[in-house]
Amino acid sequence: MQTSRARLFKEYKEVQREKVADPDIQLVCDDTNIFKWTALIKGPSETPYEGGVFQLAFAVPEPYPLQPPQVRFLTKIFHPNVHFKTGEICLDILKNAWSPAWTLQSVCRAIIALMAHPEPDSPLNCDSGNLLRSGDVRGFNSMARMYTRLAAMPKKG
Amino acid sequence: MAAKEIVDGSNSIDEGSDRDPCPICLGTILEESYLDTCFHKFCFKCIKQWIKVVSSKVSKQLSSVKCPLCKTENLSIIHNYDGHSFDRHYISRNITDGFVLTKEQRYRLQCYYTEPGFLADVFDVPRFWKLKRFLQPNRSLEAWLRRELQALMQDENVDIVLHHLVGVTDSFCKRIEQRHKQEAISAETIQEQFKSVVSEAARPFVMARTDRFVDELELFLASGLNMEAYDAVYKQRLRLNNPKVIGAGNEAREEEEAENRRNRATPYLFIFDEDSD
Repeated sequence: MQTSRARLFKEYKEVQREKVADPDIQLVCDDTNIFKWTALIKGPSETPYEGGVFQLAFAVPEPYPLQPPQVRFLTKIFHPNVHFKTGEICLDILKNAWSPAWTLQSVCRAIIALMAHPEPDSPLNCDSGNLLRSGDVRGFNSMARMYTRLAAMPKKG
Repeated sequence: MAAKEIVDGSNSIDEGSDRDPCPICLGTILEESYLDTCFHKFCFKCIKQWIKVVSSKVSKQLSSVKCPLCKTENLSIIHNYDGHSFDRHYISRNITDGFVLTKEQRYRLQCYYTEPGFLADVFDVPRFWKLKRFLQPNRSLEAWLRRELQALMQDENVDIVLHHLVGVTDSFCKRIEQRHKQEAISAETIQEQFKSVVSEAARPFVMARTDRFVDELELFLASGLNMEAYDAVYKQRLRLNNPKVIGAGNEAREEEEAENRRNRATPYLFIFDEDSD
């Protein structure tokens, strides 16, 4: 308990300091529970997610940082490694490649990198993975962009 | 709410001390330790805890661990360093929680904390070189070296280093013997050469304690005693110099009994039982 809490406080502090340095990530801690965080990340440029803002939910387990946080997309996203319904993310560092040197902030960065570089060979979203695996980049891009417009862009008016 | 209060409160205290924090707890490093290959630093507790987590996920015993920062495979954690010596925690021993020094090995380590020249008045080292006693084989040497290396390297398996050192000393003696037939070499030169040859061979393994190790080796060889007799002399002196050890009379006696038991149980101590002189 003590260790994870202390470490999360440190991260909280670091986030306050880094806010300016990384405008693509906005990490917010729940007001009443330091084990619950949300993040807003900007879709990386030159991807179909560009211009979108995606919300992530973090549930930090008790043994953190010895165990990875659970992260999922709250915003709908069309991506081979994200479950279309639950938002679950397939990313090695959130599973067996986890290292306690990762932070919530660096996990966000890893997710942004995953958005820019999908791994169609380990898909959670088969439709999306199949489009990429069959070489239909154009089809994939237009689907992904459509969902970015629908779900990740602030509606005007 | 809670987060903000506490974080703001501690802000001023550890602002400066956290410049090089432990990557695992993000706090100031406590009991600084580093991995032996990539040299990344962590709190000793943090990295040990992480290794425990990693080893709990695999069925066989780990022999190395990936650095949480750079993924380099590392065999051990170096900790407790003070410029003269250090401790080494091998990953492979993590589950049984480490190599435990036997009383005999602990006593040998204790010897390294005494002043150099501790037994200089008991054993005549210069005479050993003058009389070229080193040319006579010393049957206790291997057993003595084994225990010494086990204590210093905190490792049960020292065979390779042992054979390396024995080989180096043997070939040195042979070389000197041959050279001696052609020209006269002074005892001091031989002593000096012997020490530098052994230092060079031992340094990669016993590191900061190399010089003292060579002195101890020389002392043991010069004593001409077998291990048991040598230990008896050494321990007697240790007790005289360290009343704390005698103070606990019972403990000392128990220790001795335990030692006797161990001597009986450890076959290699027996091989050289007869007097080596």
